[in-house]
Amino acid sequence: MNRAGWLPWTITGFTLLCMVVPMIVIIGTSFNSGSEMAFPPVGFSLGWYANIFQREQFPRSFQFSLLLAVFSTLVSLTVGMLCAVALSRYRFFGKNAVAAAINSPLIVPQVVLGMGFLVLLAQIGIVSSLIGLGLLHLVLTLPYTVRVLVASLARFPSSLEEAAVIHGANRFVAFVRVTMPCIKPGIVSAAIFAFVTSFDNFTASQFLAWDRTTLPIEIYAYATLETDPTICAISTLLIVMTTGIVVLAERWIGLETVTG
Amino acid sequence: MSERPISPQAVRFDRVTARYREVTALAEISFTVPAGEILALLGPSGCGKSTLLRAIAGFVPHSGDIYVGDRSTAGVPSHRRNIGMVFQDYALFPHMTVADNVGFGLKMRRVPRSAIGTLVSEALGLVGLADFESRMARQLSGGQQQRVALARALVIKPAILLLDEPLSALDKKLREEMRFELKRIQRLTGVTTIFVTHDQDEALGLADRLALMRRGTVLQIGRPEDVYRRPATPFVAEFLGAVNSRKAICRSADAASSLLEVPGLGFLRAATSPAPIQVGDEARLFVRPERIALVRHGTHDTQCALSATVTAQIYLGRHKEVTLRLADGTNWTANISDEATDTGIGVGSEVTVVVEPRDVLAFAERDFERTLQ
Repeated sequence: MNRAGWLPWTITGFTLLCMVVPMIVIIGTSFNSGSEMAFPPVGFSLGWYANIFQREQFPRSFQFSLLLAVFSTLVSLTVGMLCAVALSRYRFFGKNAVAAAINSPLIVPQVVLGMGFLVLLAQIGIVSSLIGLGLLHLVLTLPYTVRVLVASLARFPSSLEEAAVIHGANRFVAFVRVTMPCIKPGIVSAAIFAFVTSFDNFTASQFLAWDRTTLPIEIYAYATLETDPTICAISTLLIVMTTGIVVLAERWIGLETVTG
Repeated sequence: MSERPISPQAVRFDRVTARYREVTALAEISFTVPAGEILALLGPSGCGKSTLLRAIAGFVPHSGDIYVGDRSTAGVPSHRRNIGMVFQDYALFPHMTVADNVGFGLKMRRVPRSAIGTLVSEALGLVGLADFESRMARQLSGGQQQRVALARALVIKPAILLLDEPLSALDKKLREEMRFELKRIQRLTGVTTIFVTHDQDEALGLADRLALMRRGTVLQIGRPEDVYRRPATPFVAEFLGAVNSRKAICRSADAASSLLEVPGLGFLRAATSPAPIQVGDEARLFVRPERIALVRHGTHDTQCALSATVTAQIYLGRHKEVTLRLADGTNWTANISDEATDTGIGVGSEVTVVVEPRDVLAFAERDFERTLQ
């Protein structure tokens, strides 16, 4: 450790600083008693937290973002699992093209993607935020879920599923009873990726806010009009929520690995 | 296991052929495994033995047909074939307890829960793991995992039991113990058993009959002692047990035996070989090390013997491994039993190598070349 020299330590320290300091500033700012975004905070107050719930656009859009993220995650896991099984176990015509298409949202700028969805859905006449954003978020999350699930399936020994089949399970039952429990860590991390990707997305989502808006869109709208620390309070709550989900998931997978 | 004993089924292969892209993995395999038999599929890697086993399980697409009892398996999905199988890596379900692993097949067959408990206990008792029901599968040692895998395969009262390299993942001592266990359990249940191995000791020690495979075909099938003593091809002779070999020329032949001249060394008489050898044919002869007797030079009628010099000997307890140099410089190995060694033969002794005609395995050279193709 002592011999690592100053350069690795400097790089590590600088990187950590860039990751942690903005969060500390945001959390600190959220407790300001005045209406300025001061750091270190001036005074102490939970007033900005109270303000979140007085402005009904935040609870409303939070509810919608949560619904959208859960819905997108479930659909993305289902579709992603089917894609992952096809990609990891079968050889078929156009396999590489399918894999490239699934990964394309990582390459296409999100503004372009959002605009594309806007034009397409308006043409068809779908002007529901839930359907439109649900489809968009499915496309956005699929690269992550497919990638994680393909990796999990590749590590999973096929003899386990064969053992289930030869002893009397049809292929679907074998998959549900044996394969899925065995790759549960992969499924959970795919779900976290999908959930966070959907819940946080702003760039592409802003084009499809017809009848309902998401929390990131409302935060952005608020930030363009007001300069008080309310959005810092919201951000602090989101940090707590996201950390909580990850910790719970890790504990759940971790405990499962030990006791079954 | 008493209320509903396994009714053993015969397995019949009828021109079973399988291809992986251009490679023929199985070429028109046809033979029958009688009900209740333990059959070993033996051969070098890539010979098709695992493919044949997996074809029975329904995991390998093939042409031709496989019958279990008198029913064709064509179109029967794997999960309806009523087969028990032990995989090379055991393939226990890591997220389940030992009891749930063993009971899996019964649950799939919708056996009532109470009956499952009894049957699982019986099966675990059979493999000697009576108190392990609530352990997690992954907490067990290799040998215990194998026993659980065996219990899981047997608890469903399968028509046939398939074992893929059952002992290869165990250390030597455990391997020998499990060999006896497998045989005991198979005799107790009477289930028709087919297992794959590349280990000849495993095949000789466990199987009622063995099928020696090479390049997708069965070269020979028979009782271990028959295949060992009377190999059908030079490949079988060399694959099964150590052999000494020489080229020879057939000088005379009758119905009972042929006289082979080993150029520059002498003569050996071979009892009738599987492939008839004509006078004047080039032949290849094989002699197993334990079938060689050594006598001191000049004390034996040398008409049917070879001369050699002892160059080394290693004492191995049960026998002495003697290295011989024949007159033309090639080395042979002879295993001489302990009591037969006090004849004054030591390193440097001039000896006569005596082999009984029935222990000389001779093949016409053209057959040897054909089987090498």
